[in-house]
Amino acid sequence: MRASFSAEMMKLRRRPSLWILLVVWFLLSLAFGYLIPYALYRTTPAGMTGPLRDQLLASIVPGGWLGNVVSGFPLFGAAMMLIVGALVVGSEYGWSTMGTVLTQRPGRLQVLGGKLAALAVFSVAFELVVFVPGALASSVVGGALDAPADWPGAAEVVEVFAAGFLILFTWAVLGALLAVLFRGTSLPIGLGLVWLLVIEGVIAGFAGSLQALDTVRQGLPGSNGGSLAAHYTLEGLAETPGVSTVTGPAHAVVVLAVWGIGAMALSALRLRRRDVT
Amino acid sequence: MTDTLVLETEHLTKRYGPHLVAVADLGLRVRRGEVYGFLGPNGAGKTTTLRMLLGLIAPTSGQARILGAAPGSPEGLANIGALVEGFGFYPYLSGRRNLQVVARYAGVPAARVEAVLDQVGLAARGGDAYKGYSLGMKQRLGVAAALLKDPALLILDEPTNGLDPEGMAHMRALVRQLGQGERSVLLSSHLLGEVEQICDRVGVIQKGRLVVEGTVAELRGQAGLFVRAHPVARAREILAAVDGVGAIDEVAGVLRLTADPGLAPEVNRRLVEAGVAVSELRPAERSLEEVFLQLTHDGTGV
Ligand SMILES: Nc1ncnc2c1ncn2[C@@H]1O[C@H](COP(=O)(O)OP(=O)(O)O)[C@@H](O)[C@H]1O
Ligand SMILES: [Mg+2]
Repeated sequence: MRASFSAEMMKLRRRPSLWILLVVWFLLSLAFGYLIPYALYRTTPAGMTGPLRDQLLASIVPGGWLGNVVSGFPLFGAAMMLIVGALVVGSEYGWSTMGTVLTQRPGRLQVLGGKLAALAVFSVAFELVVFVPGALASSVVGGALDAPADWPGAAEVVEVFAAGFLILFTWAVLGALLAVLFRGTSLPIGLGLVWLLVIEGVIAGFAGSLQALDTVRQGLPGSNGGSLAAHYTLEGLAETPGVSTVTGPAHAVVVLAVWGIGAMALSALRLRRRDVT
Repeated sequence: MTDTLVLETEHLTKRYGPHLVAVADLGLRVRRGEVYGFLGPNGAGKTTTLRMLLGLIAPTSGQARILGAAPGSPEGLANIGALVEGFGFYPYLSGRRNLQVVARYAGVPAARVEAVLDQVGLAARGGDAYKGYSLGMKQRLGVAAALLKDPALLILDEPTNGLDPEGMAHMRALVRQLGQGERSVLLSSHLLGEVEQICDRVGVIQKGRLVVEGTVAELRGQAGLFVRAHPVARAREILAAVDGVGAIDEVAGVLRLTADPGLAPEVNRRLVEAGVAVSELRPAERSLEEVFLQLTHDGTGV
């Protein structure tokens, strides 16, 4: 699998579309997580002290750093990684490189393993490009506004980073699974995004009035990612899309892990048997 | 499988759906060191066969052993280089970088990349993006990738497809050169001339079935002589009495003798001595094309 992983990284490192996704993710996260809240905070009249203004401030200073960053994961980050997963696997069908790769030496499962390992690396990279700039922005804003520098402890940083990884990597492997099933990129990306952005939202909308849908919702990857992120996000910032407490953090971790491992297993089963033409 | 076979299939069959049999009961044997021509018209089942040999698609029934291993197993693939119809490369990478990626998958030192680029004459353009390559360059890159492992068995699926005449000549020369020495080559083609020029042995596939197999000379059948003489009837009588002359056929006033072409002086002397006017005497070789057309029309063996 080492050969497959190193070959994978060699080609993905140079792939423009992945860099574009990474840069877009970085810019939008910074804009929505810091620039816009900061501008809102500055333009809200100081006399109008209300809960919203306090929350805005709390989210953009060091104390709110982790929650602010991870709140972008359940919807926006998930969508990004779904696309990455679908591209990393599906393009091999679109470019007919699957045959070229599978006639070298590594078996199909090793090739898939190399791809999943690369997706893990990408998940970490996508975390780094928002957590690190987020910390810098928090410290700048905190300094400018004379906010206390109450940074989270190392253990908490590691915990939130791990939770973020679970959300991103799960969606990346779901993208990969869809790409294996549909042998391409467009349909997996389209269906995956419809699922994440529409279906989960509709189910959430009806869950309040229909008990059965509420139960279903407790097992969905989107709502569990949202619950996990909500656990680390300041209360009252519930308007962040996709962040809402449906289940507890432990439940969410288990459900996301089941989806992730299930998607990997199913991809392996499907790829191992299927004709490559 | 004996030592002399690099590839052997038995009853290899691939069905698509209930009605289409792409490959039917195929028994193919390629010997070590030979250049084997896998000849058949478009849609005959060549690519499907090669994909089964490489483990890309699973046969519906039947078996194949390739370099003593199961199709698609890492041990077999370690010594096989293949360019199959539809194999692609990463469009955003250069030709050279593409080969480096393939070399990593294959576990081959990166130094091989320059060697194979050189071998296919692509060294000067190796730095250009694959998406800008002409069809000929793409095919050559495919051959280069197939050569990375310095394979004992090279599988090339219609490598001249889509090339201009110059590109074809270039590719044929390359394949001929690659087939020298120990290496075995399985070359699929729908072009007779190509196979005739390059291959030691030929298998003809038609509608998924192997209809005939043999050396190019065997397929051409027995050698003969064409004789145009006057009067024809008298010539026939005389020739029937010549030792070494077998069957005599007459086609449009020309006699075709089944005989060693080396018998020509003797045939000439006998006819002239008997007062028969000989206006033409030449060796008759059936071209592979005639054989092929006959086969593909009858759908049966020679
Ligand atoms: N994936 C597939 N699904 C259905 N039919 C196929 C598939 N691949 C090949 N075929 C059919 O199998 C037959 C053999 O095709 P192929 O092996 O590509 O022929 P060749 O390479 O000799 O031109 C053709 O009739 C083709 O249409
Ligand atoms: Mg073909």
